[in-house]
Amino acid sequence: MASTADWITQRYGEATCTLAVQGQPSALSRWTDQPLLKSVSFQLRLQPAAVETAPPSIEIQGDGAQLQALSSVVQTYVQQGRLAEASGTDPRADIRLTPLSLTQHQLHPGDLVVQGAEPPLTLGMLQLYDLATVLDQFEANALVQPPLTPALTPGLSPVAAAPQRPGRSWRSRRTWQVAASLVFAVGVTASVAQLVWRQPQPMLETSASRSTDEAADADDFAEDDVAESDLEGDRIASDPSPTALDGGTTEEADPQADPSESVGATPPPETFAPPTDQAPASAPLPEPPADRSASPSGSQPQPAPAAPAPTESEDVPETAAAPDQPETQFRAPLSAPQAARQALDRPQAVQAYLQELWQPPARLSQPLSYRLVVDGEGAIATLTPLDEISTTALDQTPLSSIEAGEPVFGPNPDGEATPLIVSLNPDGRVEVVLAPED
Amino acid sequence: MVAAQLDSIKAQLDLLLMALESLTGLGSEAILTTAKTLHLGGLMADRVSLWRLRQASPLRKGQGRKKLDVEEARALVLIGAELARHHQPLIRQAVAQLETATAQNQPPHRVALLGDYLDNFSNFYQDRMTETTAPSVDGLAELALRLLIDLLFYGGPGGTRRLWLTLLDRSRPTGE
Repeated sequence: MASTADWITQRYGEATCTLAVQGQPSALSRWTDQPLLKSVSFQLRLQPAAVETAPPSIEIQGDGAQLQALSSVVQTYVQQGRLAEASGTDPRADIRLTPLSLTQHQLHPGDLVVQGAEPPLTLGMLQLYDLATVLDQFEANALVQPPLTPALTPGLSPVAAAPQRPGRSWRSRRTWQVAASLVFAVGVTASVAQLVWRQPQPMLETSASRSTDEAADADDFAEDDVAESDLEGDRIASDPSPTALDGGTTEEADPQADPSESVGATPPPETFAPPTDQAPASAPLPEPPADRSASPSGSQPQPAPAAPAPTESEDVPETAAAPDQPETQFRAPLSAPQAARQALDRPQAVQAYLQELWQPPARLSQPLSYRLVVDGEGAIATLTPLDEISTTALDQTPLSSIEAGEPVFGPNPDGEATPLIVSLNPDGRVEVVLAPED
Repeated sequence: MVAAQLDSIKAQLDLLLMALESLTGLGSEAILTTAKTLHLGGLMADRVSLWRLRQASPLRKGQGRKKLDVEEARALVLIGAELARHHQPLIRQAVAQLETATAQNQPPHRVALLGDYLDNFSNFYQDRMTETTAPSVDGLAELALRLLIDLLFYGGPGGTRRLWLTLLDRSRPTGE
């Protein structure tokens, strides 16, 4: 199982578009000019330009293959002069861009998960430009690893068959199926809908990034690498100079973090958090490289396993490290306190623990969903199945083997109880997100 | 009609610089200064050599059109993208205003910045290009606005590569 330290998140921002890409550095990176990422997922957020008729914010999510397909379509469309339809070569993605007018374009998202608008999406000129820019920035900084095991992805084109974790290809649909079951079980439509909307949110944090609300109370969190405001209206990495290619930032857990503080091997988050107006601060923000260079963390950058090859010199931010530390050429390892705080992330800790133990029953066909309250010591205070099948199957889950009062998840630094929603999936994945307070 | 103006790599490069001139008011000195900054002064040391390069456009008035070699084309690409990058805030502002005007069904020329740009572009075109290649008034405005949007993309990250590839994509063999 991949450890947290293996996963990185890159973020790119322009005035109307932000892109967060998450993936696992491939060992093949040492032989490539750019870091090679596998098991990639992404979240794209399109925000209105300064046009009154512009649509509201739109969220798009997908996997690495879909990211490549989207990037290919956008770049082709732009390259061809924005006069004719551009479509991808991936029949599964079926992403297309068509011109509506000189300044308006229609994006047919195909299989991408879209929130905030009904497809097809109308993009303004600046949105299209910013979209092309962030995709370009990502491609300048990293590569999505092509499939190495074609037998596992039959019938897919090379683009479509990018490596995925089990179930990732239908990750988004599964996420919403879980969401639907939660809505049905709890029956409180409005509040649960909000919960579902936020569901992936903490999982993004487990990737090695910190949400702003956590950063705010981290007095000992020396590295102030999290922006304080939402992206709306803010231009991030707006410098169009060649160094702006590095406008995207990359974060990852410190592989040197004390294992005793770690929650153990933890799979990466399954999805990105769709930022909402209700919780704008929950969306980790892109940040310019300069912010990272100003970090007073004091920790020495350490090369991580499977370190990617250095990028070209023009792509190297000012914080670039020595050649023997290629990892830091486009990402700054977190300080020890940072890594420790990440390791203590409650949903991540629970997810890691349960992931090790979860063996789905052979006949299980739908996720089992539970609401947990983990007390400050790390023990389960309350456990509530969220539907009938989850009640019936409780004794087949690792939750049933945890004794009351047993602090299996480790203490919470702030000593407070944490309400969580746990989804145990038939494919073996475990998803844990923060639940709203009662 | 507009596409016809962009069939030639030489015409594209010249028109791109003309669009920049029309929007920003920059002149030959700014182009030559940028050339020196990019260590391309050897290819365009003075106004005459710059004029000769731009005169390579088949749309231009005059005789004795020179051929453009790869190094010269590359130099113009680098300079065009660098100038677009330098003036990116203004370009973005103009495109934003174009987007707003279009969304509101307002003629672009009624927006001050765009109106000045279109006027300048039209004047430059009529002064420098042959009448036989001149598009209609509407066609000229459409060409100018397309070039404006192109500048937005060329001035962004990867703009140089994008411009270079666009030249290849849009151009058609002329036998020149």
